[in-house]
Order: sequence, then structure tokens, then C-alpha cells
Amino acid sequence: MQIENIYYEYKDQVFNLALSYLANKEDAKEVTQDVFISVYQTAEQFRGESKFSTWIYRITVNKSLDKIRSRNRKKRWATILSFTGEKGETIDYAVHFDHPGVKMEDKESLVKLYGIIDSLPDNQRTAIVLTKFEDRSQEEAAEIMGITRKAVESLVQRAKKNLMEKLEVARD
Amino acid sequence: MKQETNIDELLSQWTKVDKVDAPDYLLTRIKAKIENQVNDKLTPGFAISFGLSFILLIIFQVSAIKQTKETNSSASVQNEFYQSNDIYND
Repeated sequence: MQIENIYYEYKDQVFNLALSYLANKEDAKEVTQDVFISVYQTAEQFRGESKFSTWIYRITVNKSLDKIRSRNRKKRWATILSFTGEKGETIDYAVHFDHPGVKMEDKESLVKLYGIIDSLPDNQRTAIVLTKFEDRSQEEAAEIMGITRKAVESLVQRAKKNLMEKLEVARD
Repeated sequence: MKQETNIDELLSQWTKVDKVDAPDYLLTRIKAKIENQVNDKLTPGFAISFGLSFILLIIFQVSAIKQTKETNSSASVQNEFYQSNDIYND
């Protein structure tokens, strides 16, 4: 397999999708590398039932979510260590936010947005990221997520409801 | 409905984010990692040969030990036979 050709064709989409999840360019670079290594290693498993691009985006979604879980584990471990008086690696969300596509004047509001999106369950977050951030249709999002269009619609509605509740709590 | 509009407005802030180009140098890193992973893996043939050799070595060692024990045992029986014959020769 010519990994170079695939890389040059899909690198920007993969990188930007990873950034939509992670909001940090170093994390997004790591995920991008992991995605193309995975594509190279599992190319034989691609059965052609969906488009090649859909398959790559699905891998990107999964690798991004894995990275977020790893980040959250570090956060929890740091909290535990802080109770024992030991120093751990803490992750301050505002400091961690390092999206190269965000202008300085917009950073504050987007950090807040990311903060509440970050609290959504994985499937709701993915539905929001694909349909609102990546501007995919619900049909495309459904194909990437391996679910029906109706399920995507339902996830987006639930995500919005969750976001509304979190905003209410934040105001109180 | 007003709250939903607020959420949509909040989410629409994402339109302020620009798409960026992925760095080209990542391809070099990707290729290096793929290369390292290939070198780290044992080929199946090598693993099987190594495993079989190890098993044969153990079998050989066990049979050698058994052989030695049998030889020692028959030698001691012979010794006893000669010793018992010596009694009659005296």
C-alpha cells in the first residue's frame, strides 16, 4: 500500500477532525500519526462496504476518543495524587487548548464551548462534532458512526438538551 | 425554543475556527514508526523454528539423563553380580 498517496489525500481532513475533538495541536498530530499507521496495518481488513474516506474518518473518531480517555485518566490520577500530597500531571483545560485555527480574540469563548462539549458522552459528542463542527450531513455522520440517520438526529437532540442543562447549572 | 436557539448560537461559534493544514513532516514519522514495528516483530517462521529447536533440546536432555541413569543402574547391578561371584572365588 502506498501510504504516501493516502496521507496526502486525507491528512488535512484527519488532522482537522482530530483537532475538533482534542483542541490541541500536539495531541492531534499524535492521533493523525496513529490513524495512518492503523490504516496501513489494517488495510486488508477494509471490505469496501463503505467509502474509503468513511473508513478513515471512523478510525480518526475512534483514535480521538481513545486520546480523550487517556487524557481523562491522567486527570483522575492527578486528582488522586493531589489527595496524597504527591505531584501529578494536571491538565488545565484553558492551558491545554491549543487549536491553530483559533484566533486569539475568539479563544476565550471557544475554550468555554470545548469545555462543555468535553463533558458530553462519546456518542453525543461525536454526533455534534461531525454535524456541527465538521459540517457533515446527518447521513454522512450516520455512515461514519455506523448507525442510522434517525439515531444521529436523536443523539444531536440529546446533546443539545445536555448542553442546555449544563449551561443552566453554570449560570446558577 | 429560546434556549435551543442559544445552543445553536453557541455551537455556531465553531464557524470562527479555520481549517488548518496537517504538517508534511508527519509522514516521515509515520513511515519511521511503521518501519520500527516491522523490525520489532519476529517472523512466524523464525518463531516456529526457535520453538521447535528448544523443544527438541529439552527432549534430548531428558533422554540423555534417562540414558545415564539406566547405564548407572545396570553398572551397579553388574558390580553386585561380580561381588557376589567373588564370594564363591574366595
